[in-house]
Amino acid sequence: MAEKSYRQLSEALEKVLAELQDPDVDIDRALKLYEQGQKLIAELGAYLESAENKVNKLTASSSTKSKKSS
Amino acid sequence: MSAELVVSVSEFVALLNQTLEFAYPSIIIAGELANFRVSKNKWLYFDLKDDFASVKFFGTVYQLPGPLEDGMLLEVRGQPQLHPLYGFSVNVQSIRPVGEGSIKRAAALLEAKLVAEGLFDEARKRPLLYPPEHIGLITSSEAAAYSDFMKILDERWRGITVDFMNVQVQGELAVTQIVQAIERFNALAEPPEVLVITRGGGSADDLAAFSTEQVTRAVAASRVPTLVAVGHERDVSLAELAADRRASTPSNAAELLTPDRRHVIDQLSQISQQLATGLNDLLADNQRQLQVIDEAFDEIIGRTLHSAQDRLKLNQQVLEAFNPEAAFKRGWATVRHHNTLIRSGQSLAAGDIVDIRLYDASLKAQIDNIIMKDDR
Repeated sequence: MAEKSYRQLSEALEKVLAELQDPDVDIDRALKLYEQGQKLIAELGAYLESAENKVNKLTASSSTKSKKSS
Repeated sequence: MSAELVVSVSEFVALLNQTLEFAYPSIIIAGELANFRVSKNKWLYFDLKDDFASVKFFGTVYQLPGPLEDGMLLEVRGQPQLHPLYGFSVNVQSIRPVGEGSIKRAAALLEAKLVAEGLFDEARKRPLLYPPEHIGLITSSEAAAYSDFMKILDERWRGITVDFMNVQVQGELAVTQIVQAIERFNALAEPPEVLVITRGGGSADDLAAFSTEQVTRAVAASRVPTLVAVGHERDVSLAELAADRRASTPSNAAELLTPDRRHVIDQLSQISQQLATGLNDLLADNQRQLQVIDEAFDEIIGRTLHSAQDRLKLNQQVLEAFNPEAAFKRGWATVRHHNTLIRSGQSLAAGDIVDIRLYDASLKAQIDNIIMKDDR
């Protein structure tokens, strides 16, 4: 899976928000963080709109087939 | 005279056992438990009885569904056998409490035992990742539980991989299959982040597998955190008590595992707005700071200029003090002779015509007499 998972995107956003809340952050950095934050929010939203849940059927011995649900 | 068949005792035992094995390879006998005892922590001896008969049983503790006590109603699967030395008994294959009273009693005994072992301790409970990316689902594909769980999961969240193992959730095979599924998920190279073991509601009999010692211990032993959801109204199954988290129904399990993505999308847009507001505030702050610096700068420059002006005024006063005009005003005069400023009486002689300058006039005068200071 090349795309980032929701959790990875979400952690990245939390880091951005935490750094932005640092009172010592300078304006150049804040502008960059702001852009990153908005980009991550857009990616998270797109993820929640478009990603799908996948179901793999396993047996007690081995995996057989997989299909998409929803 | 026909010769009757005569057999030895051992031959009789073997013959009878062959007949019994042929007639009853496996039979389920229901009755009330009596004279239950465990020998050397390994062997089981008990009787099943009803109003008119009593039959002996023999087995091992591994076949126990949990602790038992006399008076319980059981269904015991076994094979009748005549032991060469100890006589008739049924060799136990499996034991199942039946009837609501016995099931509850068996569950209560097992619960007390597992509580004493600490299997249900709060300290054992592990948090579940929220939301998970990888779920192991153990339920029956035929029951509503599977579709209910997946429906709510699909509504609420996206991008989850669900590994599903189809098991019987009631009946004789349920216990073994559920335990195997839990063990199999734990043995995967990439085990799921949470195991969901679920079924819908049913009678006490239907739900019995979820209160067996085997399933309860398998749930407690799972390295993968567990969520057990058994639909029911009153009693909680022991597997639920052993789980890291329990839910009331399969749908509720899906709800506990995931946030509602519509709500999260709303939150994301709020964060986006807060980010924008935050940035604006930061810019405004910076502007205010610039303004403060600007004002401070003005003040310093102003003060510097001010002190320069003060110094200038002082210099002017000093300069003023040396202004000869001021001396003339005070009554001083100068004497020149042929345009040369006279500093000494020796530079003049009687009869010389001199120019005298006063504050407001110039005089021409002739020297009449010269008296030197020393001559006085």
